[in-house]
Amino acid sequence: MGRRLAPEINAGSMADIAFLLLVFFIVTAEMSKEEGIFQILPEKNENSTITEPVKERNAIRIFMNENNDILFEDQVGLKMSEIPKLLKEQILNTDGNPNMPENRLVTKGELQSIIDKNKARLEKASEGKVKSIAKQLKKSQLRLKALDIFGNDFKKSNHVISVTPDKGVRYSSYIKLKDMIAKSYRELRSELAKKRLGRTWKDLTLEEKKMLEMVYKKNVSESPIEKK
Amino acid sequence: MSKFNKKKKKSDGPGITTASLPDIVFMLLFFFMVTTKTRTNDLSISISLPSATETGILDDKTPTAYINIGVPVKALQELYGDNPRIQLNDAILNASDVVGFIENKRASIEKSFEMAQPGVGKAKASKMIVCLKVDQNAQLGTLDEVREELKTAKALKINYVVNKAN
Repeated sequence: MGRRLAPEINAGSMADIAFLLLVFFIVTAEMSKEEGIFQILPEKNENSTITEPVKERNAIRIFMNENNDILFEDQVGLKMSEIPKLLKEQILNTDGNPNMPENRLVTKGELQSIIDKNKARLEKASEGKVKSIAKQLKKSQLRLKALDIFGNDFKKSNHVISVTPDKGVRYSSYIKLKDMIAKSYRELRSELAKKRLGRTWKDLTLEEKKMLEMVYKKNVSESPIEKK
Repeated sequence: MSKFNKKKKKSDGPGITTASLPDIVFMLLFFFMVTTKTRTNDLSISISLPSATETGILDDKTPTAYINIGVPVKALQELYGDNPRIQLNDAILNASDVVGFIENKRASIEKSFEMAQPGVGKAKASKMIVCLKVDQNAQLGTLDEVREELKTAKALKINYVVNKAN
C-alpha cells in the first residue's frame, strides 16, 4: 500500500561539487592568459621599398647578425643592456645634436586646429564612420590635455627606429632586442611621469599612461627604410 | 498517525552514501585537468619560449589563431628532420600553408560569432590576432617566411607569446 518515498539525497556534497567545478574553471581560465609582445605588421606591398624616405639623421639604425653582434648607428660591440640608454639619448636629443633625430616643441595652436578639424569631420561623417572619427577626436583632445600637463617636455620627434636583424639571428635574441626597445620607451615615459606627476608608472591612471604614450610615441620599423 | 509513520520508515531502502560523491567529482576534475593540459602541450614540435619583461596580456575576448614554430620532437625527427618546422592545428606543415590556415580560421571565427549574434561575425574575424609561439633557438628566417605569408593573408595583428620575466 502507500507510495514508496525515495531515499533522500544528501545535498551536503553539492557544495563540494560546485566548489570543484569552480576550481576547474579557474584553472582552465588561467591557462588561456598568455603574456606576449604585440606587433602590427606593415601591409604587403608589391614594391620592394615600402616606407617613405626618412632623413638620415632621423633614422636610428640597429643591425644584428647571426652571432648576435649588434651595430647601433655606427657603434659596434654593444651589449643588449646598453641599448635603452643609447636609444633614450637619441630620442630625447636634448642638446639638439644635428646627427641625432630632430624634434620640436608642440604648440597649442596646432593641436587645437586638429581638434577643430576632427569636429568638423564628425558633423559631416556618415553613419559608419562616426565611431572611428569620434575616437580620433577624443585622441586629439587628450593630446591637448597632455600638453597642458607635460608642457615643454611634449616634443614631436621625427625619429624612426629601424631594426634589421639577419635571417640567422636566434629568436630569443630578436625578442630580447624588441624587449630592450620597448624598455627604452617605458623608461622614458616613467621618468617623465616621475618628473611631472611625481608618481611611478604603476600608480598612473589609464588616461595618464595613454598621454605619456602620446608624448613618446613608439616608432619602430622592421622593413628597410629608404634614405632621403 | 503513528502507524503511518512506522510504515514509511519501513519502506525506506538502505540510504545511498553520498560520501563518495566528492571522490567521483574529484576524479572527473583530475581527468579534465590532465586532458586539457596535454591538449595544449600536444605539439609535434618542442617549444621553449623566450622571456621578456615588457609584455602585455592578451584580452581573452579577442579571437586568436596559433602558429607554432619549433624543432620536431624526437619521435618525429626521422619524418620531419631536425630543423625548425611550422605546426598549424595538429599538423606539421609549410609556410605556404599559412594563408589557407588563416582563411579557415577566419571563416570558423566568423561562423561561431555569427551564430551567437548575427552581423558581428565579419568584424570579429577582422580583429583576430595571430599568436606566434616560436622556440627560442629557432632562427629568424623561418619566422620571416611566416610573417610574409601573414602579410599576404592580411593578418597583420600578431602577438609573440613569451614568458614573463621579472
